[in-house]
Amino acid sequence: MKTMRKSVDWPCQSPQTSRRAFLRGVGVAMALPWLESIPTWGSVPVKDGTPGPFPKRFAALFMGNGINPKHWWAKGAGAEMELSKSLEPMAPLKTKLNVINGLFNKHATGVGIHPGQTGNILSGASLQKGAVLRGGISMDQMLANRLGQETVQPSMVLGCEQPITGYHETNFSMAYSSHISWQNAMSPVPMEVYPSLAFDSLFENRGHRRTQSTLDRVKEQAASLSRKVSSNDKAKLDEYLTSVREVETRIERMRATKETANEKAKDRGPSVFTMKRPDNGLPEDIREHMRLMGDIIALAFQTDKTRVATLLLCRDLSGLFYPFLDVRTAHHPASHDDQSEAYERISRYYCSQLAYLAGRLDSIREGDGTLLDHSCLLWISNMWSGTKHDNSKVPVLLAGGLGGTIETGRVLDYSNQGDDHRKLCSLYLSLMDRMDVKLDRFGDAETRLAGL
Amino acid sequence: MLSRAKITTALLILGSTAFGATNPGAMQVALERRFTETVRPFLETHCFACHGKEKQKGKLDLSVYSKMDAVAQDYRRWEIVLEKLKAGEMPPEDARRQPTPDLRHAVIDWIQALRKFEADRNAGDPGPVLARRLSNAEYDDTVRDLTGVDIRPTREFPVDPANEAGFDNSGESLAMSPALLKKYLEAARDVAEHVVLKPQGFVFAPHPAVTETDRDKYCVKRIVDFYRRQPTDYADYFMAAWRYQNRAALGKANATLDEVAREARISPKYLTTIWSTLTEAREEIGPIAALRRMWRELSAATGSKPDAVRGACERMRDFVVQLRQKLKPEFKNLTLRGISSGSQPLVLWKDRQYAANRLRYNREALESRSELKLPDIEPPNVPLSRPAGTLSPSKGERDGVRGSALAERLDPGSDAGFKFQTADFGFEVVRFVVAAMTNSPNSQAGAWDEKGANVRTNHIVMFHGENALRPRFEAAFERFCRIFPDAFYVSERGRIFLQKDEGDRGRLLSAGFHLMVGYFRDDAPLCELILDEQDRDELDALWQELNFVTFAPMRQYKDFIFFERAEPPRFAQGAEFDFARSEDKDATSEAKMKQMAETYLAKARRVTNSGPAIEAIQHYFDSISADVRWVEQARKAAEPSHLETLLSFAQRAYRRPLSESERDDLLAYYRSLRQQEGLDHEEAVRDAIVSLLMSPHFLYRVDLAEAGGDSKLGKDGWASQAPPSASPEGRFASRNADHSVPDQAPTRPHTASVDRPSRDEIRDTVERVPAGFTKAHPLSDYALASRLSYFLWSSMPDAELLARAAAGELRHSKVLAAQARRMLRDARIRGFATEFGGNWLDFRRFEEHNAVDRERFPAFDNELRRAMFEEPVQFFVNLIREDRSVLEFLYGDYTFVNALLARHYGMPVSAAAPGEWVRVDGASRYARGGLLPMSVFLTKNSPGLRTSPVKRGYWVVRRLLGEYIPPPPVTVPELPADEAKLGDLSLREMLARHREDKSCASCHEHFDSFGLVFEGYGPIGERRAKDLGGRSVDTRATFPNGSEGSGLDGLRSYLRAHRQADFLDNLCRKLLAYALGRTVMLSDDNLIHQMHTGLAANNYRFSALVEKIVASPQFLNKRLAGEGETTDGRRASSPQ
Repeated sequence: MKTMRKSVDWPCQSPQTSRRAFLRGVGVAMALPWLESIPTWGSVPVKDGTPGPFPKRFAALFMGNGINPKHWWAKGAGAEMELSKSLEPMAPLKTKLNVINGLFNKHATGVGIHPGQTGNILSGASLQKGAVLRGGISMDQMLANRLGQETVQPSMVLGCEQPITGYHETNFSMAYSSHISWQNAMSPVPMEVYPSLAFDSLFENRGHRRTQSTLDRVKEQAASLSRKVSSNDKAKLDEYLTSVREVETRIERMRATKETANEKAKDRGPSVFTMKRPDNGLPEDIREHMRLMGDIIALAFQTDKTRVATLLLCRDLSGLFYPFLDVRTAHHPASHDDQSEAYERISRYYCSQLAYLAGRLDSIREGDGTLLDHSCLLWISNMWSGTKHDNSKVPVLLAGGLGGTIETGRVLDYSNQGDDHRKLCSLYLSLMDRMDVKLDRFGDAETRLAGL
Repeated sequence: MLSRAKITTALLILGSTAFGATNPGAMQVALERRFTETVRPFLETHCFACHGKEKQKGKLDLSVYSKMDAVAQDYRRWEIVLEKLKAGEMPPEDARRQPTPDLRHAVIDWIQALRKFEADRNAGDPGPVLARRLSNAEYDDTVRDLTGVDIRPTREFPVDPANEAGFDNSGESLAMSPALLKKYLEAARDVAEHVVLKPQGFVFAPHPAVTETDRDKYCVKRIVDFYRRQPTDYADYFMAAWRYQNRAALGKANATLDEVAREARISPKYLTTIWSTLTEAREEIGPIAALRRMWRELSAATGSKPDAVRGACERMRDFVVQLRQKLKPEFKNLTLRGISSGSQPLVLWKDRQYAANRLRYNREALESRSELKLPDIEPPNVPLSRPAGTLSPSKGERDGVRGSALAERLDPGSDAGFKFQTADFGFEVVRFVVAAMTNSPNSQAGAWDEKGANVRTNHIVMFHGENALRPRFEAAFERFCRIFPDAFYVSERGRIFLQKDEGDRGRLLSAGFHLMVGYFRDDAPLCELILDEQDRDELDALWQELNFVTFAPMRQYKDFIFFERAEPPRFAQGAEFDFARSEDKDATSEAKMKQMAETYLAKARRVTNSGPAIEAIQHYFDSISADVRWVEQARKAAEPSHLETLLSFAQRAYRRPLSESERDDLLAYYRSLRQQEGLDHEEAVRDAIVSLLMSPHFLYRVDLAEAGGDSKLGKDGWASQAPPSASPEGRFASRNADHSVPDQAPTRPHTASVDRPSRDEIRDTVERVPAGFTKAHPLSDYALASRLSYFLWSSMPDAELLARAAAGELRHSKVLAAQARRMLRDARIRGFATEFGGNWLDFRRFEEHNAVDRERFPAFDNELRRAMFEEPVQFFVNLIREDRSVLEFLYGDYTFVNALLARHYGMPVSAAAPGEWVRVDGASRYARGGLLPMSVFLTKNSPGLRTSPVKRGYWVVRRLLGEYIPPPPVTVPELPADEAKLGDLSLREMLARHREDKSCASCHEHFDSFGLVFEGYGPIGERRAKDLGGRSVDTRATFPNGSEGSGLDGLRSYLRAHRQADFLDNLCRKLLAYALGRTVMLSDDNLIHQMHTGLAANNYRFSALVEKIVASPQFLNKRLAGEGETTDGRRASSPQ
């Protein structure tokens, strides 16, 4: 408590201060890194004072409408890798990068343009047209279902552009264009577009903050009921009361552990990445918006609040504008001239978002490596060419070695492989394997991606 | 097992200290003397050698019973002692000394006398019924009845343990743990995510309603379902008109038009219109005249054969529908330079044109010609008349292309079997079809390629005669179109701004935009012609809800900004529009919308001076602003109603009224969530619901005694308080009526099914506390209502039951019995069937049964497994709802099957109802009927690749007859898992050999025979003549009393002759244990006896059992704090 008070202005002792406000204030101080030798949270075993394996994290970043194909290539390997203009932002991290071309989603081809090419980008499912939504669970949510109980939040699903839900001319719902993360075949995961709320969810999500007030309330009720009943009934209610207290204690214990960790961290000076709570509302500038979302993912990973994140940088059929890139048309119309210099600048800008997040993670030390080394950032778009709406292959970038399970600094091209050997879902199977989520099949794939 | 037994023992000790020790009498003295003088010495002499301090065969040590009290407290074990003594099984044959018959009888008598003594002394003791959480099944069913939707939140909960009686509904077994508490928390959130806030109150959607797509789905479905429910088939109306005309011949001479309509489930209003059109109109030319001719021919030709009439009515309908399609006006897009024709204002304008003209006819369709001209491009060899049968008038307009004639006359006359031509009425419907010749080798030369055909000109209506007649035609067609709209409603719409139909189907209620969300209501003909006022109001409310729930206007407007700014041709590009961003929270604020309207209109005026276009745009901004403002205001205005619903939800969840302080507390909690926690209204409502579902008042059943009996109760006042309104479900229930919760419809009068007691009768309330019984107290009315509903429905009380409780009427025995009877007839009795039946007969978890080798038995799939589970449930539900004899469980010559199970049983499959469950009488023809041969039990008791006479027999003896069989010793040899691998011996022979071992025989004699009779049924309950090893099956058996029998019939005869009483006794005990939520005690003996006699006196009707139970002191009372407890619930002395 003491250390927290130092870093905030909130008058903590005041009884009027809500817990929410309090937590909001101390968010900065609670943003603790994965501390060596302190078994703070998560389930990672620590033996003999040496850190166990660091948790593996996964994030997917999505850009709609494809890239400028002319300027999207890489050659060579490792430090010698040569990057095209659009990929230039990744140059400082090219040894931790894999440029993967030639992969595709079979069910996203031949069904018309846009929504049918998008809603299944992470699931490989075949999508249903018309009013009834039907696709498949996306791989981030598959990971979240399996790994989520280890962390405060199973996953973070963020977006920088609001979803829309009308119909496209192909008769697919626009919900498919706006959501890449699906909790099941019928429902997309609600996407958080407000940085302030995404930030709050890390520190006072309903799993904690709102649980607390529910438990407080029912505890009182049980206690008062208990006073009215016979001793036998009282014993049963005590069982309930004890369970409520126990759940509360666990929550408090988690917080206490963090406070201890915070205390110990003070003198060690590890690279603690901190951020202040973003302002309410949507940032006026899309650059600011995207950067904040990236920061929140970095913070969430660093503090192990979640290990799975999805960020829709822009939706498919995006209406975002880029005056700072000297482009007057909106994203989607610009993509119809994908060979243009303007669209190259847009493509490069989106690559720089990956570079930003990767750079953030790489600046955070974990053991002998960095947080990036223990993560895998998947950057993907739903098309190769926006002019032709061509998704016979889609651009993929992977950053990070995922705890040494992925060799990096490579350019992989599957364009000339048979269709069965270049499935996105095969890539997802391979990535999930490395996250220790082993499935026989996912989406339309039953085999792993060769050569990853 | 052991620990559970211990718990029960402990409870029994508690019970007898509370009621026993203070009441010594002469009887007791005598019994105690007999124990010391006769029984104890008997034990020492004949029993202790094996069941004493040194050895405890069967884990039984009789030396611990040094006093009679000890025996009474552990009577259950002594029942076994009694059984063994009676049967002469103990002492064993090879014992050194055998007691004399007299001595044996003396001991038997004593045990029985003790039982009687104990039973009488405490008769009617409510027993220890602990506060308990809802079981998983109860939780699911309660949530279903509370919310009106079947969410089943406990799917991922751990299985509830059963108590000693085998049921999972008692406090002994229903424990709480932190892990479970967290699951309840998740479940409560899951339920709260289904909440849909409405303009008045809130309801629960069948699916989560948090995301926009989920909310859209919910609202759109309700509107579309409403449309689909409406009677819009003209044939139904013609048919009803015919019925009305022939009402005398049909035996309903006095039927009114309204009655006929109601019977046919069509709109009385529209039937009146149709009737007068058919019978009163005076038309000589035009379509109505033609229709009336058809009508006259119909009534003249077909007499009173309804089937033939139906066909004719359908042809009349087809004539109307087809002709009407030709008269539909077409509207061109409104265009404006620089604005996409898919832009919202323009698309909505077009939508409105169509919507406004559904009852108008297209003047241009009516062409005036004197004769029919055929096109010049007539291909060779084309028959002028179309091939027979290729044109069937149909509802759809798209299939008309199938005809291959060059020019077709649409004549309902010859085509539909009517003897007239439309030309008789001055017009013809004609279409020109140009068809391509195919040269494909597969088709005959000169054949028409139907796919290649295209309708060259639109359908034309011609009339013969002079132009002077035209006004009369105009009027005739006008009238026709006024009565028959081109569509009653439009429930899907593609992108109507495109000139050709792109086949965009499945866009429900869509306005027809591209990329943008937006709904458009187009149902004026339905409202005007068919719906009555109430239906119209309902439909209006549904459309309002759509906007309210989904924020559709806000979203539509934000999409408008996106579309106009980002999508080509981007009318709203340029710096002047930069203030408008769809992402901005204030994008739909009044000021910003006004600014947008002004800027947009200014630009539009610069590029055009088209009045209609400017008007359309102006109209758009006006109406979307109005809609957005309405949603904003309605949302705000609705908040108090949500809190009211929250309060009534709370009292339904608590199954009783809230006290004043509880109401205040709940509202204060809501306010704190909003003010201190910063949640918005909707989040706060959801969290408040979570807290209600987590409350011990919801989660726990605490049977509170009525106020006054215990001064501690009712401190808050709620135990004695009347509910705040006449209907405890209040507004919530009425809002929820559309969720088809069987009987929550508030329209049902409370007096409908139960006789209201007179004043005198109420005064004559039942004596609920047995005489001389000071430690029990009547349950509160609400606790009694809950006890009744959880007994019979495994769910919360419904509105009627709560109303009875509120009125204080439940304590009247007649009301109570009538309520029980009503509840037994209710569909929710299914909860009883699965929970009581399923646990008693051990099939509750059959849907997880996986012991079947599916490769060997491919017929056994999940569907069949579900059907097997359903069979006894259906049987139970039917037997109870029809109040049949419980003996039919054993002897009933009927069962219930669906198509799948019928196939499995070799029964003919009813084609009429493929998916439904039907009763099959005379089931013995298929060797079925009653519970015994149901495949669920035969399968459950087979270990995969063979049958198990042991398990099947054990099931009959243990579950149905209630006989106690000790668990087998650990050293029992395993039988082979596969019948085919038994070797030379059959299973029957192996079992016979097993019984040669005396220690095995002592148990197996009791049940093997009961299983052997089922050998005619294989491992999945299928009938068979040979076992898997190819041996012929043998179903003969020698029953424990030495009598013989074979197969199902043999078993039934034996049961009827010798074991029926065992079955009934067991049923009574199980039912009582389930009803009370505790294990049966000695003090229940008299009640069980009464249940027996009541059964026999009432033809064994099931209701007789239930009525006895609900009228019993055990059921109506609660045991109060026992001795050794102070009144405030704390124990004075420390527990043992």
